[in-house]
Amino acid sequence: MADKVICVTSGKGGVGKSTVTANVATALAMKGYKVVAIDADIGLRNLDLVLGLENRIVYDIVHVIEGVVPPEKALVRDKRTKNLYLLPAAQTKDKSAVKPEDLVNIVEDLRDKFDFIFIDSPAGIEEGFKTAVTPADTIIVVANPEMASIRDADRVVGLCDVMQKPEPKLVINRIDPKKVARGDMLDVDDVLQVLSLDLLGVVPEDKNMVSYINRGEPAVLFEDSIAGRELRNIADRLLGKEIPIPKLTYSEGFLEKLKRLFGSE
Amino acid sequence: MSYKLRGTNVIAIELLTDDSNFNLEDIKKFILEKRQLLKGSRFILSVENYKLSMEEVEDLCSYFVTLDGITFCGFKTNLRENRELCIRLGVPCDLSSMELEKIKERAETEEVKFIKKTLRSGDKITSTGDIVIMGDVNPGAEVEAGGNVYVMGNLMGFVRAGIGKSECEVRSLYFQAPLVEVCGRQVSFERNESYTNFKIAVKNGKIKIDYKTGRN
Repeated sequence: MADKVICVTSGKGGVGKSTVTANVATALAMKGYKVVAIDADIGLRNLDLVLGLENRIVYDIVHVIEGVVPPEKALVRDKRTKNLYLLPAAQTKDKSAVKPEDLVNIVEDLRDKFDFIFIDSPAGIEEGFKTAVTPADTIIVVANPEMASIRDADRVVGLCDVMQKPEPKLVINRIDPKKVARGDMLDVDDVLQVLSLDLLGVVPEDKNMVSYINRGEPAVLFEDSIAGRELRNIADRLLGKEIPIPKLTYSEGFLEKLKRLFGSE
Repeated sequence: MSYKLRGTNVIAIELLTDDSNFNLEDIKKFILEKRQLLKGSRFILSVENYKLSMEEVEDLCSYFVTLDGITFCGFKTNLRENRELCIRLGVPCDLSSMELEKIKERAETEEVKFIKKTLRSGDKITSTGDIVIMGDVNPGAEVEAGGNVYVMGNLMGFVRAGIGKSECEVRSLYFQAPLVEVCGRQVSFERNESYTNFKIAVKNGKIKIDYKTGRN
């Protein structure tokens, strides 16, 4: 089995850390593994919304640290996907409420009871990020194909190196084959040229993703979701399966060809 | 008799003589001619390999004192004897070759740093001497060197080379950085410009950029 404790981070906010965490955790739980997702974004919790568990939270991670309840009692079980649990973040506290050693203790408590432990890191490179990364065996860096996100991801990779963590794996999120074909967006090679990391997956832009998140249903639950398919592949690659990264293809539709013919964009 | 003046030195204007053309009367006459030019500036007399006598030094010093508006700062010479003589007489004298020795000394104490990894965003490497990087310099990374910088990879971050020096060079296999600072002078490049076998050097006060091909 691959490494157990996986931290998903990015540096920049809004690139899809929580979405990737929720989907990959769900995909692994669907395969029968016992998975827990820990939301380490204290004060700005989102993971419960993406998983659709927001109305069932009673205790959170700060209660666990304060000793109000043991970790097992604070876990929220997903009714839809058996084997998936969430340890929610506190919304009323801030990042200083959780120290790296607190999270290490929680992870050590849960390590024997679960097959995978996912930690959803907050954005930024301050305390919260360091807390989230400290207990991790594997780090996944999520980046969008844009320079701001790449530079932040690069910084995070440098910090992981300083913290003597293994080299992170890269997930490129929200890549739009149409824009890449037009030359408006960086392609996978451009991103890899700067970051030079092991590529774990390339998740294409999916227009349905917003509605999946709003409904609290991870995209991996839907067979026809293009992002969901690649997120399931990421879960398989984490299990050590050799699945090639699919080439991004984009073929122009009839209307676009016609528009190009008449010179309008 | 005509002598050469070297005025590029910001510290002082230098009058160049050597053993072939050193003549007390000629020098005095020349200074008188160029008096207007030398007015308000500091003045150095360079005698190179000419061996000064005590009388000559005293004669020149007493002459320079009479000149109004010109500050005589001393002699410059290649010979150790001249320097010792001047020191005995209490006249400032700089040894030209000593400057070279000083530069050499400094070069020997400077470190050369080898970095065997890619510099990522937020990393900063500094050295008093040269830096050799076996990897890339990613956007957001900084390199500061007293000497030259060599990047065996893709240079996309910020390099500041030749700090406090008048000559230096930056080389990289691939270059895609927006800005480079060489000897305190900033050179910026267009977005999306990229080169292979890139070299930027400052020599004799001029910036020279050299590259094999653009990649795009």
